[in-house]
Amino acid sequence: MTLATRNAAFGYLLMAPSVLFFVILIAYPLGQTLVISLYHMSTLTRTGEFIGAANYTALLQSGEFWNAFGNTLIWTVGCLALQLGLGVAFALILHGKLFLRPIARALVLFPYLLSTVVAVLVWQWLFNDLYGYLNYLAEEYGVVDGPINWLGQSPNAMISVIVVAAWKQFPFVTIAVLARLQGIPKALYDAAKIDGANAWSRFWDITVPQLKPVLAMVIILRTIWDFKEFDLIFMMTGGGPRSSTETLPLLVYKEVFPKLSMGSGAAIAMIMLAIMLVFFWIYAGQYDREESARTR
Amino acid sequence: MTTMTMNRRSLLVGATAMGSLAMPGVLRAQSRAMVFWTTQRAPEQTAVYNEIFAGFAKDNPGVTVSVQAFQEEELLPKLAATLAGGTPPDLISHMPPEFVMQLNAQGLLQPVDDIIKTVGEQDFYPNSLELLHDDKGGYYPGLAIVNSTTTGPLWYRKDLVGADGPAAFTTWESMLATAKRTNRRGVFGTIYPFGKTSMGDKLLLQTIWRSGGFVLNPDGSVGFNSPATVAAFEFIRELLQYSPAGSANYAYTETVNGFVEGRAASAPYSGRVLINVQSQNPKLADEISVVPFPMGPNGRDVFVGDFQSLVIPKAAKDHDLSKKLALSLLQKDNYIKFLHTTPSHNLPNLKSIATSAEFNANPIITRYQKEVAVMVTATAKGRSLLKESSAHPTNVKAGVILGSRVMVEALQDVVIGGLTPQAAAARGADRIAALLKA
Repeated sequence: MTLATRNAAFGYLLMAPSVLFFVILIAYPLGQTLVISLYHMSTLTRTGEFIGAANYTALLQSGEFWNAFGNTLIWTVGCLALQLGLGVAFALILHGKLFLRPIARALVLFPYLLSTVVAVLVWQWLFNDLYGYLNYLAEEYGVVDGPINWLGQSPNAMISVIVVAAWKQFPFVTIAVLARLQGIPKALYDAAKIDGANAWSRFWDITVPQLKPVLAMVIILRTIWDFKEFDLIFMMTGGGPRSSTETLPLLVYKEVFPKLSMGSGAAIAMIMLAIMLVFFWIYAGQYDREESARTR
Repeated sequence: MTTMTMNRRSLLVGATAMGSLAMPGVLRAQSRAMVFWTTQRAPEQTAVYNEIFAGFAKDNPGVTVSVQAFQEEELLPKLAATLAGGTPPDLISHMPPEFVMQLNAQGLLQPVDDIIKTVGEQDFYPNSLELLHDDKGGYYPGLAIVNSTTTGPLWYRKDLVGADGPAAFTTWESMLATAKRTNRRGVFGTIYPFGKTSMGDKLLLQTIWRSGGFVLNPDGSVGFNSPATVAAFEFIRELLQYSPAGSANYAYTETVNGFVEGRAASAPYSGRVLINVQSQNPKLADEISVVPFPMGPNGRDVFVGDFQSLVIPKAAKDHDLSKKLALSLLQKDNYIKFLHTTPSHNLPNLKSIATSAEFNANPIITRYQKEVAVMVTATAKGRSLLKESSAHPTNVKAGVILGSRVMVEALQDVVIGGLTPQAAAARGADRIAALLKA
């Protein structure tokens, strides 16, 4: 055996555990989901008949699926826009000269560290129409005559869950942006000042271009994570009122558990995977571009 | 050093193996860790379960029972996972009856006829036995451990309703008039929850029945789009003028809290109201009473019962031991001890217990005898979507229909979506038909 062959064999040996974990934890479940999506299968007995692509065609013809797809898009875009806005704004504030800055930086992480269940319980209390604080404030200050139906009316319910999700997740954007802000050389700002650039020009011509790579990464990652969000919406509205907050992950749950139809649930999951693969492809491209820019 | 450790380990392994072999055969066979699932999660209920199972372990040396409590919504996902893993629980309590028959239809449950016979078939309330009988197989796949109704009783504030008392809620018209009269700033006339939740679905189902309608007709066809359903929608739409704006998102907790905190003059709920009033708002304790939820002009006098059941998964390791465990829960002293953790909320499904001095000796039950009697009467008239009348065959898709929330969504179509009651009922019927066909 030559040295090259021995080295290659040793390389394969070192890779084997990772490959094994990949096969067991990712490839096998994925393959199983694909196979299940071709069956009319009971969730409990895991038996059923092969029906080919019938689950997919039935889904693509169902109004419920397209409604959930539309809601997922509204949810994802809404969450993303709000998270980015809040995240960048807080990062800029925390980057400036601030009294007790280290404490403020720690505190801003609080919503992100909170468990979803606790966050939902707190917000449900705030939104409650009988004893919720938001309605109390709105009525006390004469903004409204009666309580606002935050979660039981469209489009209030979707707006409310988006606000909660943005509040919970924006610290991720803040951390990422803040880290990048701290890495921008101060000399760039000093040079711009000497050249007579005002605060807005400095922000637009120095800060924004410097933030672009990290923002691109954050946008792609958060899009993937928000697209598959389940627990927050499920606990806050259960998909209601009517189907106004029913997103694709909730539809998967509804098919697999109450309806015990594992096949159609798996088919929705596969469609979601295909959509997320597009996002991941963009993410991988962006990552490669950044890596090559760094090594250049 | 390494060799020494290895030797010691080998010695320990060998000694354990020898010890196990030396153990009497009976003891080896009974050395079992049993798993018990329940949806009853209050700390006092868990404490009583632990106490009962400690006694069971004492009577059955080598057996231990661990209690795992979680929400009703988690039952099917967790059961699916444990069935796939080959580790189902030994006994499940408080499973909704619709799930029981759904699982039974898939051949996943062990008959519990032995338990029913040992306790005494005549002692069970007949409505629960009728509901949980597999007519084709000729056996019972589950038995209702409690016989209560959360939607049947309508609680009201005596101080707000005034001299009319129960007469204020005898018909839909009188309920509407009372709700309008008692509705004022800070206090709603009533609470009618219609969130996409179990309570929203069950209360609507009951309103349809009490309007004279069915979801499915006795011949199996969909009856949801009947004039009775339309009348129920119209009644609810009118009633909702006096119910909190957030009722479209309300479930059990919001309903009971709203009433107990004094924010509504009436609300449907089980006997838990009595417990919560004592602890959360005792000044209302003498100001509340209960009536059966009113009925429409051509209604049927039935309520939606809860019938949470005891079941043994077919894949459980030792059916005999599971049955013994189930019997320990139904043993008079244990059963009463458990029921008294939530007095008047979980009502007994054994007539001998319901009429026993020991059960009625509880301070809350004694104090509210009249109210408990109203709830027991309503409970005896309880049915389920499984079998909407005695003429109906068992609807094994009841769990799917309820779980999909298509019924309460039809009501939301009317109230939130602005559809006419006729159009919403027709849409709901189509969706139910699709579920039956799937």
